[in-house]
Amino acid sequence: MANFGFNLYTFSGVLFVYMYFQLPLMVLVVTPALGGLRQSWREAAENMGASSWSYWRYVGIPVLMPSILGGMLLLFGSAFAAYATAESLTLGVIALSPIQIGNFLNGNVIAGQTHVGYAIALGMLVILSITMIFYSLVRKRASKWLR
Amino acid sequence: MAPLSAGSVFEVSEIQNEPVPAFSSGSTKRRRHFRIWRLVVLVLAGAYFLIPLYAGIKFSLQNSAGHFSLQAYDKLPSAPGFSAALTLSLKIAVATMVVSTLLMVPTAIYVHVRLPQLRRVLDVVTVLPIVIPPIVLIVGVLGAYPLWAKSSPYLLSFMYVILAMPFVYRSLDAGLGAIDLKTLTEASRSLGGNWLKTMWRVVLPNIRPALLSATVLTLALVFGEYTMASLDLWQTIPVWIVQFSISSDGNIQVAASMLGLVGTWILLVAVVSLDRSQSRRTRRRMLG
Repeated sequence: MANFGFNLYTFSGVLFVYMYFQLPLMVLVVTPALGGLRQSWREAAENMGASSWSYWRYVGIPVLMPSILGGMLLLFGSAFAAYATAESLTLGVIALSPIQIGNFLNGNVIAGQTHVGYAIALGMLVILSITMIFYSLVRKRASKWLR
Repeated sequence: MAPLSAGSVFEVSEIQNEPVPAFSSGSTKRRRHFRIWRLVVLVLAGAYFLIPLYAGIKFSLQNSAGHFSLQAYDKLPSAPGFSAALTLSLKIAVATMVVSTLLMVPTAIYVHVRLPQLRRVLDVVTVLPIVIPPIVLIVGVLGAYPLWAKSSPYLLSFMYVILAMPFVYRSLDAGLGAIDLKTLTEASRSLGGNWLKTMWRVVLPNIRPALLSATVLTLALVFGEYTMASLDLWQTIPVWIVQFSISSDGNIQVAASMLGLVGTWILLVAVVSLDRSQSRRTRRRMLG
């Protein structure tokens, strides 16, 4: 792996490892939506002469879009909040915000700066709340097709 | 369905007097494409997930010279700090399971029987621990609690009750939704059973699989949680694994991770299969 200029203990390495817990989450979110794709839509598209590509382009993907977006928002939230993986992989070297909170809390940077950690925590909470508001909006849209 | 559509295709071709694209051949072609794609995705995802596992298992079965040996697993129980970490994790896990059962079972039953209009609210409340990251939660906890509370490991189990709440509540909610709770409790009450007796002898036996899966999920959560334990400065098993890997050679730590992974996996598979056999038995009883 090192021959390709890839190092596990860098930003791209963290990305690679995050996929291990992100991928199952995405599968969990999108699979029910796939079940909502009705066979009759595909047949209708084919009856009108649609190719496989145009079926996905104009029917499949647009119907799945809310679920995919919802999954992306959820994955953003979980990656944004993850601490254990990056911390144990890079031992706090990469300055992600959860790791910064941990460092400030442990007094690893400068002692007596725990309030900076609190501030980052509040900021994270605000960003995650916004994410979740969008998630619930998208979710509402997605459930339209799941009946 | 099939003969009907074949007939209609035939009619259409009669009317238009020209060859109509054969649907069946198109769909088998599509199915073949689909099968190839499925295989490609399966192989790629399988490689992605299994290669690190394979590497971990292989590494834990090597000695420092690179030969096969069970030395890491042999040394694991006597590794410094391991048994203390295991005991601590077990204590916290038991406390968490007891508290969350005592808290969530009556709550879920009460909401189902008496306050069904609150189920929506509870649905939202029980999702909150997923939305609020543990790192933010522990910041608040460390800031708010007095020192005597923070110096007890059982503060962690109260935190874990909150973290486990989504899984525990979902599981119990599904279990309670699957039985006819209203009829059961009314029957029990009309036979003279009080509230406690109804819960203990009627409701609990009926939701045993749900309770079991809730408990196992809690156990898995406690044995995998790193963020809160490490920031609360308690050396539970995950914290020990990370810290031990810094101070010593990695084989033993990887062996511990692999044991934890396999153990959790076996436990979950056991619960799922138990659940399935239970529901099959109930169905058979209802049919016969």
